[in-house]
Amino acid sequence: MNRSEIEAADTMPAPAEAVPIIDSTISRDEAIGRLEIVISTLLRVGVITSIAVIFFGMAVGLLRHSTDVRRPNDLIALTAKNASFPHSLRDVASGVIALRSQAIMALGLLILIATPVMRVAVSIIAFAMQRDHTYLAITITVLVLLILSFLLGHAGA
Amino acid sequence: MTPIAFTLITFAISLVAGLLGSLLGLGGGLIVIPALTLLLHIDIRYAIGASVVCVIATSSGAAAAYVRGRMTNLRVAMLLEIATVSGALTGAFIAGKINPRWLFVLFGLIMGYSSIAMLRKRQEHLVDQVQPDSLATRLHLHGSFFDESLGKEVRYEVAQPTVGLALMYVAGVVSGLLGIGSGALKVPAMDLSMRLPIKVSTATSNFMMGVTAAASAGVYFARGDINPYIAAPVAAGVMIGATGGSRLLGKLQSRAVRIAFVIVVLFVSLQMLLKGLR
Repeated sequence: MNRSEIEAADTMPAPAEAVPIIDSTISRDEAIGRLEIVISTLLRVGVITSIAVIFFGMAVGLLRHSTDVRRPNDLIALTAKNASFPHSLRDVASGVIALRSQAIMALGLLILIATPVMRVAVSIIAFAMQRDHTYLAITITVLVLLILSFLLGHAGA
Repeated sequence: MTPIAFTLITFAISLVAGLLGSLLGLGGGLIVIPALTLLLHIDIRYAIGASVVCVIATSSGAAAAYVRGRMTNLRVAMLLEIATVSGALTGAFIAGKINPRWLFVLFGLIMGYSSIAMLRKRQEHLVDQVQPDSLATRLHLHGSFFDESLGKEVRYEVAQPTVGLALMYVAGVVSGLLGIGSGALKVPAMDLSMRLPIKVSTATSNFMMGVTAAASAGVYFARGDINPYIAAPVAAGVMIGATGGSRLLGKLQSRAVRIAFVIVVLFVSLQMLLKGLR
């Protein structure tokens, strides 16, 4: 079987879609093209949002702790190996509600970390809509591995 | 040093690291980690945690432009991400277990290699030399992109996807261990083994870095290695620096300037190596 035959076979889940080979290739390309635009917008929005939240957190730190931030001893507490800062979703959430600067900055970082994860999630939806089962399986595997990463870190790995 | 001075210095250093990284095509992490550890004496795990976040930021920022230009092969990226993400999980897991001195040693070696690799001029291979691979065909990996320098659409076939997957796992382990994008490992793997055009390799490697780094970032965040007080100014600085760098000059073209930078980078990588071995 040559390439276009395989492609056609793959894009014809139902007999009703048994369109000429050329058409099926074009629709596959078009679908990928639309996916590309959604992904690039998503990436940009994620990055801009996260940097805005990070700067907001830094500003809150300056305003709320305007006296602490000038004491050298505090630096050691902030950057020491065993420094305490929010590193679970629950701590970040409660800290953001209390308008604590560390937690807001952590939220900004989490938005950044979540951006590629969202990108994978969007791809899953797109491949599901195209009934591209191979790539649906591939992208779901990637998403599962990404979720696993958080659990792996929490497990003390 | 007061906390506010520390934040400002960290931000300024990261800005320069992002700028230099994008001008040299090295990525911010490779420059920001030595700056944080050697100059500011930050624990290497926090430096790596901060760098991982920068990799996501620079990758996502650049990927948005590349994807729109249709330079990225999304299918190749998604297939190889299985390997890079599993590698990153392995690497991030190991990084929490081993003595930090080995992180310094490995970092020094990878940094040295990357700086030399950056100097080599990559040669575009002829597209028609490629043996179409049956697995690649079944996975619809072959693609095309619009080459601006040629002014036409270039079609290409993908070879050896299994070799690519294996090499990407290794690149992923390095990314996870050191919190860097390891583009210097990914691009040659795609270029030489899978025979992708160099522009497609670069864009696709950059695209995968975000997801790869997100996997290690998950482990680092949950483990408590991403200190927001350090990572926030670093992420903001590198992001702004890298954006500025890509607007400013594109890439540094002058060979003499590049060689001068490589010598500096090599010197720094030696410092990292020595810090680990001492």
